[in-house]
This record gives sequence, C-alpha cells and structure tokens, in this order.
Amino acid sequence: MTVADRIVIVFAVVVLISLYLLLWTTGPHPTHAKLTDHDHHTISHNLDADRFIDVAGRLGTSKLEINRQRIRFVDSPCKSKVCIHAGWLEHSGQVLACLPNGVLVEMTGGTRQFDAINF
Amino acid sequence: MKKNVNNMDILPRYKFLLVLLVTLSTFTAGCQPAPAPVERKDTTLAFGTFVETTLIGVTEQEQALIMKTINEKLEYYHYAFHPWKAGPTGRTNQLLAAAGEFSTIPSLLPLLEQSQLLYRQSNGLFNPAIGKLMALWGYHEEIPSDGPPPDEESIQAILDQKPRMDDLTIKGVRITNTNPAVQLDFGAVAKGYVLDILMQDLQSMGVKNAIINTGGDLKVLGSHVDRPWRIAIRHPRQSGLLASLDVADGEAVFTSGDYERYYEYEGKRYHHILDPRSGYPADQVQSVTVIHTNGAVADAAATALFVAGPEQWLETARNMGIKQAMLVDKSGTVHITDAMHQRIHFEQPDLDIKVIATP
Repeated sequence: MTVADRIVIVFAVVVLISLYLLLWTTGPHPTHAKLTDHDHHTISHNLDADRFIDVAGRLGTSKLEINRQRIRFVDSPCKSKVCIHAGWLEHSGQVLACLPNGVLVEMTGGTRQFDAINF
Repeated sequence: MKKNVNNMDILPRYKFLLVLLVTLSTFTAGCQPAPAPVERKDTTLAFGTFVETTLIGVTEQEQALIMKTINEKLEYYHYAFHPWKAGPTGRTNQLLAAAGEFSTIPSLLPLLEQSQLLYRQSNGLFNPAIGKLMALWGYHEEIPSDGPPPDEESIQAILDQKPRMDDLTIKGVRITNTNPAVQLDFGAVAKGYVLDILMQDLQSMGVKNAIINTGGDLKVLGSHVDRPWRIAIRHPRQSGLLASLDVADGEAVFTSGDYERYYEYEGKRYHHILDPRSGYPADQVQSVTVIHTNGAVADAAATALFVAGPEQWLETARNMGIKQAMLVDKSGTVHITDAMHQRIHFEQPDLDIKVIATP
C-alpha cells in the first residue's frame, strides 16, 4: 500500500464520518426560543446571540434574557414572579409561561431529549 | 506492455479500498434510522397554566378537531373548579358558608367524592376543605399575594374551626355540611382529575399515543410508537434536571415543589403548599414526585407526601396506595422507593440518595 493509497482511505473514512455527523445527527442544544405574546403572535428568536428581549403582555412588558443558548424571564409585571423563579430554560422542549401576562416561551430545535419536563 | 502489467498490479490494491467503501456504506445505510413518527404538538395557556399536548398518529385536520375539544374542556373545567368564581365550585362554596343541606351541581360530585376519599386515605394531609386558609395566604387567587404573610391569630382562628372533608355528608346530589368554615379548594387535585378525563376523551376520539403536560404535571397514553415516552424531572434547586425516566401507557407523573408558587417577604420565602395542621407552608421538603395511573391520586398524593415530610411520607404513601414516589428533603437528600428507583436515571452526580423498601 502506497502513501497515496493511505491518503485516499483516510479521506474516504473522514468523508463518511463527516456525512454521518452532518446528515444524521443534530446538536444537543436548542437553537431557538419561540415567544408568544398575549395576542397569540409568535416569534422565534435565535439563541446564538446573547441579548435581552421585550415581549408585550396583557399587564405590561416581560423582559427575557438570552445567554449561552439559554433563556429566562428577568422581569415581568406579574405579582407572583413564578416565571422569574423558574430560572433558565436550557433543554429543547422546555416550556414556561408568565400566566398573568399571557407570555409563553418554548425551546425549539436541537435534539429533543425528553418529551416533557416534569416540575 | 510494462504499463499494462502495472495496471493489473494496481487493481487488487484498490479492491481493498472498494471493499472498505462498500462495507462502510452498507453498514451506515443499515444504521439509518426509520423515519420518526409524526408528532403534532400544541401549546396553549389554559386551566391557569400552560398546556402542551403531543399527539402521534393523527392527521393535521384530526389534530385541529381534537385540540378544539380539549381546549373547550380545559376552559370549562377551569371555570367549574375555580374556588371563588361563579362556577360550580364557587357556588357550592357560597352554599357551604351557610352550612346545612343543599343540592350541589352534579358535575362536581365525582371530584368531590374522590377528594373526600383521598382526604381520608391521607389522614387529612391532603385537605381541599381549607379554602379559607388558602385565601388568607393569598393563594386563592391566580395572582398570589406578595406578602406580608397573614398574622398568627387569623391562621389560628381558621385552624380552631377545623374545616375537614368529613364535615360533608354526600348523598346523591344532596350535601349536608356541619361546618360553615369548610371552603373547597381543589388546587391540589383538579389538574390530575382533569388529565384523567382528557385522556379518556382522547381515547374515545381514537388517539392511541399522546402526552399532555399541564404546567409540568403530565399523563401519557400509549408510547412514542418507536420508543416509550421519555420525561425528565426538574431539580428543585438548580436550573438543570434531577432525573429522567420512561413513562408507561396510562401513567401520570406529578411533582409538588416549594419553588413553583411562592413569595418572599422580609427575606423569608412563603410557598403555596400549606400544612393543614399548622396553617403554615410545609417546610421539611423541597419536592415530591409521584407516579400513579390515576392522575387525581398522583396529584393529591404529591401534596400529601410533601406535607407529611421525610418522617411520615412512607406511611402516607402506603395509606394512599402509592408505590412509586420520590421525596427531596430540605437538605437535598433524595428519598426514593425501591419501585421508582428501579426505573429512574439520575441526571446529577454526587446526589445523596436513600432507597427505601416500597411501601
């Protein structure tokens, strides 16, 4: 077996593995957060860039923070603050709502490891 | 001539490469997963929380029809079991305040009767008759109070009146109430009860595989077709996950935690799971998870076991017929029955886990 043969074999194996990873698997992390406001308008936000997002709710504005492909409520005009207490959402399929304000967040994209999160 | 000989030499060499590529291609083609079953998901705000319904094996049109029915039912039951709005529970509460005998709304009876049974089985730790106490703490409202907590005298005044489910005698639609302090609050059982009904409805509409997640508590039907339904349980103190498990056909998984609804007043946290004996939030536990095929039982038991605390939870589980339960105490130690431990996978390292013989 010549050097050229070895290079061809290694190249073929690398191409096969790359194709497998590219086509048959997806990343483990969610890629988007789907935010629904009190008027049922839905916008999907990419989780790549860290930032703050304001969502219009029934009572006022809910502020959410995207950080390292996670999202959380940092402020909301509700009294109970259940949404803020819930902390970060980081798994695909996780859902959280600020009920009094009518704002809903759902993590989408990536590999969904679980069909539901119990809490 | 020499050139031809060389070509013949090269061929066997590349035979190896050819065989390798064909083998790898065949192998990887064989590994290609079968197409995943089509999931149809609907997430909405209903029943005072978010409701996520995942259906498998239905068309888009069927899903639309099913979700219309489910959402209408959720709206009705939210109205029917609301403790103080003008629905069946609210009106029954008005009649209970006067004591004596009255006719209740028939649609309330199955939940009322099941709640009375669960009250007795839990030795009063699940007590939906403490609506006055819930109201006093501000947890009657969908938007709870932000403090201050009620004063001790007001709490004691309600405890002295001893509101119990046994104060009610149910005969047909007639209810006799001997204690005007009884006010119903089905907050610790209604979600499970409604999930049981919704799953029956789904079955009657021909759905074989579904999962409904109502604000973190869930019930499943069938499987994901290609695998079991797979769920995770949130860690009560971290943003990550505590554990994961496969859920079997007909099972409900309910968790009661001190982190869901609470308010802080002068640096102290007051959560919504009240101990009917003390009148204060139960403070020995972070969370309790219960698995049972009856959603109402799982729901009520999660609350009762939370209130029972690490000392009494097994006795309470035994009395309520619960075999699969997990309790995270206030120090973070995980107490788990053997039956549940066998099927659960912990997602965190270094947990202090105590496996206990199934009651």
